[in-house]
Amino acid sequence: MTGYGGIMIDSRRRLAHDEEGLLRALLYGEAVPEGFDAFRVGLAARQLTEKRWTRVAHLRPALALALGPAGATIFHSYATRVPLPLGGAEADARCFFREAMRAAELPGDARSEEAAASARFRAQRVSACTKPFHLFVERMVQIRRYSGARDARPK
Amino acid sequence: MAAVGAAAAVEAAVEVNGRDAILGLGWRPEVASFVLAHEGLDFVEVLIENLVGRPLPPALDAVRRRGLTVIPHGVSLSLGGAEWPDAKRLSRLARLAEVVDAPLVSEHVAFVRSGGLEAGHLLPVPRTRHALDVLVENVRIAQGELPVPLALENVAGLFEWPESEFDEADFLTELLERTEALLLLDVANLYANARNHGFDAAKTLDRIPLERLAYVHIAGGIERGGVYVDTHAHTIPRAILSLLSELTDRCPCPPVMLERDDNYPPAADLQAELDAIEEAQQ
Repeated sequence: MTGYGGIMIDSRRRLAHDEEGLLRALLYGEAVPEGFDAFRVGLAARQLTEKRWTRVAHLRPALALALGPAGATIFHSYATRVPLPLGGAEADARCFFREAMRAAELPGDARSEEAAASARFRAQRVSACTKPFHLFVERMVQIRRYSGARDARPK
Repeated sequence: MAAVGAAAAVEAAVEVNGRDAILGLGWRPEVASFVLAHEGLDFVEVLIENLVGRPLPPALDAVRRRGLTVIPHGVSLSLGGAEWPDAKRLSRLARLAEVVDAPLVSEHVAFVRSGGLEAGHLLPVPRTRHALDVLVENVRIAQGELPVPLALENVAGLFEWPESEFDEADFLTELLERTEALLLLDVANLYANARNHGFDAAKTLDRIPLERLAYVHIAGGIERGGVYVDTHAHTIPRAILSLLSELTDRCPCPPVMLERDDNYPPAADLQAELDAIEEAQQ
């Protein structure tokens, strides 16, 4: 194996720089790095958001039904501000529910669907992790991540 | 690990149903009953990320008891990422391979995260010398943790990285030769890239090491705004079935697996898709 020596560290640094630049363009709508076809990168960014929405709609069918065709638009505006949470699609659905509540009057079944999902999530967390402040730690990591992401944007 | 006859190894691991074609389906809860009712399927592939932290779904366990081979398939190792592969993800993959008694596991030539940013989807890596070196090292680290061989899958990308030092065939070939990994060839991804980035998919088949081929992915997609999108939610286009025929001409009867992730059709339509795959291999 090439090992963890200097040459590989340099390759990893260069790759990290390239990949992060592209990810910031895809996820935050920042400037597309030089040399890329901006139109195609825009298509890929839209595809990423659509995939997020597909997963969230799959996890919250009553919410998706209640929002109707407007759901995709509301999700898109949310997704450009909020990156995919560390907790994956389930966490994404929880965050988006709060956004959707502000955007539209939600019927009872969408609200009870969310309540049931939250209860499931809490029960899983309790059984999966005995540390009482697990949720707090996850939240802190996320806050740090978001603020880091914001700081990384060009002024 | 022997480089020759990778597909034969998978063939030996699946219980072949007295037919020429070896067929698989991506296992999702939505197709679970179809898989159980279908006599002609030889193997299924499960997404590791869907099974983490919970016992095997009873429907999947039933599939194993029916004698179908189960192949764990990862989408979140980010082998093409700048970071070292995550030890926890690797040990989950290794454990699942043992639990389902898998002959091999598969992942992608892609990255999904970098610098704390999570794309949530597979993205192509730059085809440069330094990216290849990192990818090779990550694959070797993964292979060191896995109890079974690893197969690597080509991905589709709507955009291309600038300043590529390799084309897709050379990049994949060098990666497979340096890591001795197996190949999971996605003919739909190859078709999409060839179509969207203007190269010849069939000629690419002549330039990749098909002796390392473990199995094949195939899926449907649509043309949208002048670009072919690999949706896994539509019928397989004729052109992709032809590409499968081209592959079968070069490498007879590899195990082929249909991926369907959304917009699930009725059982009869799913059956028609599998029949079309089988027919394309004649």
